[in-house]
Amino acid sequence: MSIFLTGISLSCSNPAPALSDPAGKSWEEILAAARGSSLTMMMWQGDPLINRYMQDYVVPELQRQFGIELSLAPGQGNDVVSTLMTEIEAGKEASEIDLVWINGETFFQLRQIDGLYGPFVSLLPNEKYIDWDNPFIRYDFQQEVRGYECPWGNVQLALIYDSIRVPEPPMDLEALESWLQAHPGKFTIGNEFTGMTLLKSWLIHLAGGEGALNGPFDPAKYEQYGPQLWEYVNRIKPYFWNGGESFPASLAQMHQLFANGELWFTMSNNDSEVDNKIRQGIFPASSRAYVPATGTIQNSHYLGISRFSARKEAALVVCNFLISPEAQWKKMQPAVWGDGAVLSLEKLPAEWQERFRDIPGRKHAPERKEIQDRALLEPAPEYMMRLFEDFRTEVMER
Amino acid sequence: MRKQLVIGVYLVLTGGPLFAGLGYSLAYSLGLTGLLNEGFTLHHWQRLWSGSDALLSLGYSLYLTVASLALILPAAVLFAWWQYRKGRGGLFHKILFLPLTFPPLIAAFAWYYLLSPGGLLSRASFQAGFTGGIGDFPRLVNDAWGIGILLTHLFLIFPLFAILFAHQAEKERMGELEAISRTLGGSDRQFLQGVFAPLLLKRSSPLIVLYAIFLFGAYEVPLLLGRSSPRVATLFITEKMTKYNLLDVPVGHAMAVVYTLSVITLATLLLRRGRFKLFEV
Repeated sequence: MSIFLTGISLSCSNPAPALSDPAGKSWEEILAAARGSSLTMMMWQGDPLINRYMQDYVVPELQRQFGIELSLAPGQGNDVVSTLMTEIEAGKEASEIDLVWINGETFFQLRQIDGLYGPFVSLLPNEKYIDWDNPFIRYDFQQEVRGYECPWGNVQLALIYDSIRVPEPPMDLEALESWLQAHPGKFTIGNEFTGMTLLKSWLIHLAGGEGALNGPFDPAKYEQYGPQLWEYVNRIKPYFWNGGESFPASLAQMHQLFANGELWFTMSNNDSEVDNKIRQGIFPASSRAYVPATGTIQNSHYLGISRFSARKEAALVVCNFLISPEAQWKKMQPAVWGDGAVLSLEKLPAEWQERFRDIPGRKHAPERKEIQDRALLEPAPEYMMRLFEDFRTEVMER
Repeated sequence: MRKQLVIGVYLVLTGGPLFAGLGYSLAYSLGLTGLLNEGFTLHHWQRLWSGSDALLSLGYSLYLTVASLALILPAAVLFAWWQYRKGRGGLFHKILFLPLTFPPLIAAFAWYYLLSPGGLLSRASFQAGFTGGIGDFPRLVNDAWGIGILLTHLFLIFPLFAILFAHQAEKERMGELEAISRTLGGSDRQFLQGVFAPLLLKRSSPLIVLYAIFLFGAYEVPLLLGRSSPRVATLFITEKMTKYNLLDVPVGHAMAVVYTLSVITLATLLLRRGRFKLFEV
């Protein structure tokens, strides 16, 4: 019984206050405090090119320029939230995680548990280059970031197909249905973040297109358009991979099914990922990315600092480096990562503007400017939660 | 006295964390602790049982446990019977140990690459002209009956029971029992069914119960080879605790309580009913 009570009391104890707060310090003081620090960044490590960018470029540069040792820990949204939540519930004084790579739904959850430090973005000297006028950067899942997360990259959901097997990919929902009827078993939706993002794009389309679901979560709209979405998905489900009886649990599984020919379509939240995957020899050279006329969601991914980080100064320096023209330019190279930059070209010094303009174009994915008019803003995070829950009850369990 | 002390320490070390965790999950599910909880409530328990999802998960876990054991145990008994007839040893007996070195996740991957429509069997079948493409190959992973899961469990656990039963058969002086059976006019089949198999199963019951619990809590193999719905209880819990809706975390804890109590109850009932001593094996 005493162990039981100890367990309860531990879990009820209050979290310790933040160990350091760089607010009010000059950048020179922050740099000095950061030198010699070791910090941990939790990030998704499912792409060898991204890992290489971090390990072979970012980590050594941080050590060389700022004397900071950055360790990378694997984990994405739910891992970040679970880890920080458990630490807070256990009353841990200093977090094991200092810096996190997040997107809107994780941002929403971390704000729910008050796990993020901020506002901090205005402390970063390179903040002046960020394209805050771009709503796809300024708003994260309809939430103004308000300095609690720093934009790092910008991507758009793209469908990837094998151009030999699919000479003319379907451009809208009706065309997709016809295509599926003619080619059963070659398409599916992952029961994970990217799959849900596609469903969100379809929901926005059914609700009237761009801007239809902007603003806070509207239960009435969801009740109105959600059933239309499920009716459509259930209608095409019998033509999905495996007869719609199961759905890939991860994007990696989708990619693998595409690579071995079981699927003729996969998808990616990074519109240029197809180039990376072809270069790595994972996808066939005939793979192409496209955005259907119905549009897909474009969003940004961000960097957040744990409220319980004991090395916030070092975390700030890392953030500032990652949004520097140099690091963003490097990251945008199709051969390096191909991630969209979050900087405004007009705000950059002339030499950097030129270097950004000289970045080689994409080979198998459409240029960003070609698909910009099909970009949809992320709706509020509650849509994602409802879709994820209802996808199970309305589609998978039927 | 010393033995009691050792048992006491053992119970505290093993049962302590288990009951502390159970207590924590119970408190979480009742709203008594947890970041987003606001005090005592039965709401999370009501949500757990509001649909068929939780029951389906428990039922699916139970199905996989029973079906796996229904495959593994008869196969292991027959192996022990074969060894008993021809004498232990041989190459097969040696390589039988090999699957025991596989972690479940690696085994699941291996079977996925073997059985999936894009896997080795499918490719071989295509090359041999039995199938005309990926779509013709029968679905053996992520399928309705959990065929891939059951085969992987068979691969992972059969060797353990096969070796155990073969060893047990030697210990039980089966020769003498068979002689008595023959004297009474029993056939080979009657000896196998009436004496050999029941004796081995009874003697190994504690281990069978432990493996039933292990299979009921399987995670990696169903994660890779199972269907999206229903999913096993462990995946249900993980999903509720780690996915997008933080308000589902207490529901995950409620399921964890149900799962833990089910396992404890099952183990207690089975072990007490048979009056087995756990340390007999």
